[in-house]
Amino acid sequence: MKAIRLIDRLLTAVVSAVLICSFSVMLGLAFLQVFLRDTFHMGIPWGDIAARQLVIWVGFFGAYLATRSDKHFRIDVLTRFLGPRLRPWFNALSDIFAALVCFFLVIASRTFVAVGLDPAATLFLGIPQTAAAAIVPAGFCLITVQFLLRTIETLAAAIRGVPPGQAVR
Amino acid sequence: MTTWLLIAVLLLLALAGAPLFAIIAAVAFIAFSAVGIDPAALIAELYRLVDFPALIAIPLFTFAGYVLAESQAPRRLITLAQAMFGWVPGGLGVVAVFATAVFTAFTGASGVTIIALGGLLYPALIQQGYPKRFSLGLMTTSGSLGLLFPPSLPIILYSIVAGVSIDKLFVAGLVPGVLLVVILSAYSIRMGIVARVPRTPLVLKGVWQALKGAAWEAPLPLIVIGGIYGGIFTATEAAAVTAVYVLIVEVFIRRDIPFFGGLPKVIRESMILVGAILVMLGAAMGLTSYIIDQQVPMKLFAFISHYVSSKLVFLIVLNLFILVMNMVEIFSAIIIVVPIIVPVALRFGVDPVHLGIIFLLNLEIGYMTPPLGLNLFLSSIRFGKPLSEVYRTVLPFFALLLVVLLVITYFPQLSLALTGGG
Repeated sequence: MKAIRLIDRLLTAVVSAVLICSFSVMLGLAFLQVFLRDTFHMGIPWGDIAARQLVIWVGFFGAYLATRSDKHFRIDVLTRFLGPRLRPWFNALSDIFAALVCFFLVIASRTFVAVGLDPAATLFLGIPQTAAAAIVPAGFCLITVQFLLRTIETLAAAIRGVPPGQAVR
Repeated sequence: MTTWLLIAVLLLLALAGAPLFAIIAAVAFIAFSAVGIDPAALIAELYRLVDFPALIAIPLFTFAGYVLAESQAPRRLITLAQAMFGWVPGGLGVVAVFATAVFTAFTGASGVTIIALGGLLYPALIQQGYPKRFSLGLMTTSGSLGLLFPPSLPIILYSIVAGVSIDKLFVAGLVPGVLLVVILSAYSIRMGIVARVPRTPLVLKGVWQALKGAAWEAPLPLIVIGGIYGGIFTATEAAAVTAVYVLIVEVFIRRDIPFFGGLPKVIRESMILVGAILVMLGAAMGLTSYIIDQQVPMKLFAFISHYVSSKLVFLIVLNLFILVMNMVEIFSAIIIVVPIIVPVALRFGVDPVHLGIIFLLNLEIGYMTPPLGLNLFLSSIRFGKPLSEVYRTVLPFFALLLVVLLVITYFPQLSLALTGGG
């Protein structure tokens, strides 16, 4: 269990750091564009494209953290009425399901990046489109891993019959 | 047979608390493979999100809202509103309506209003002698008031999902939003008179002090709303300006949020909400393309038009439907229901901007609709009252909001006049 918690903490620290950097660049770019446009009637030619790509990056990192802190949108009508002994089993079930779906999303998005995009196409400053789009498989991969980590922790707690630790609900 | 079994399993998983984005993606996977399309097409649809220029408004405005919520801005806002409206009969009620409307517009009705402002306003209302039932009901209602004003997150999301201009929607929400605020203020004033709540005299010096205190935040609604309505900048540009402005004010000038100790946390927390919305939106993009491809809205229209022929009856039925949907979860309601409803409504001759306002007002009401509205739970927890009591206290407000909804549904001009349409 210790190893799992360590992986979880490391991964989360890295994702948080990258998220904060990506967000700062996105905010800076978006504001710079408005400033340049309104004062000098000019702008960075690739500024809008870069900012829009970063929204997706930020979104995936945020979604990873949402998985970790259980902030995904869900309808928990059923689990609300379950006792504390049954609930972890249902939580584990929904986490396993989510991990499975995310795993399929990783495969589908790898295919999309490999087949659906032109490997020679560049977005700006010579950055290939495939590199920017790589966040989709990478992001879903991160989310899959987080769902698996959660499942392990929830199951371990459910078997022992104790409420899950701090990291989990 | 297998299809029904799959649907039943997914439904059970959804009710058991599986994340909605995974449910949506699973449905899309099944739908795509049923018609023999490679699941990679699902991702192609998802990746189309980078082509939406308005998408960046979501993280930027959400960040601005979280910064404001974390700072002392709510306290300064209430002080200012109290100094300005305290002398009116029912003054504090009016203060509550105004302050929560502004605050919700900026924080996107994510429930922060009840948590952040409720703790300041509710005890003050009781202390001034407002009836408990009224105070609790007002606080519960106010949690989603202001949803129709820019830059609220649900408006932005609706504009992206429905493919309607965000600037137009922002303008369209103005009159209906003001109508709501006016009606709730009038109700508060009446309550203030009936309950003989003492009035605080208007002290110009006090107003000046409060204005000075909130000097940095007070112009914010003017910058955003004035900037957009005045055509100085687009909604997306307003998002960037607001985010940077709020950041500078609360972190560097007011120093309510420490740069190293607080700002990273605010970025993380706000982007968690953005991430949760974006994966759901992304997953739904694929499903939506399938639904459009299979002409589901057309079939739905054909089905509905068997029973409903008038636009008004359609809108009323729609209102009932959305109200129930929204009680469950509002962001999902927008993302899943809007793409199906908009084409159907178009065929009934409903303007998509008008529909947006109706939809958003429904969201606002859905938040406080017993038994599942989110505000009811938040209020019950925040003020330590049993749910049954909260249910009873919101009823008069619920009735008022329903009347406004009917008026706005029946008179599209209220929403469309300022947009140059209708």
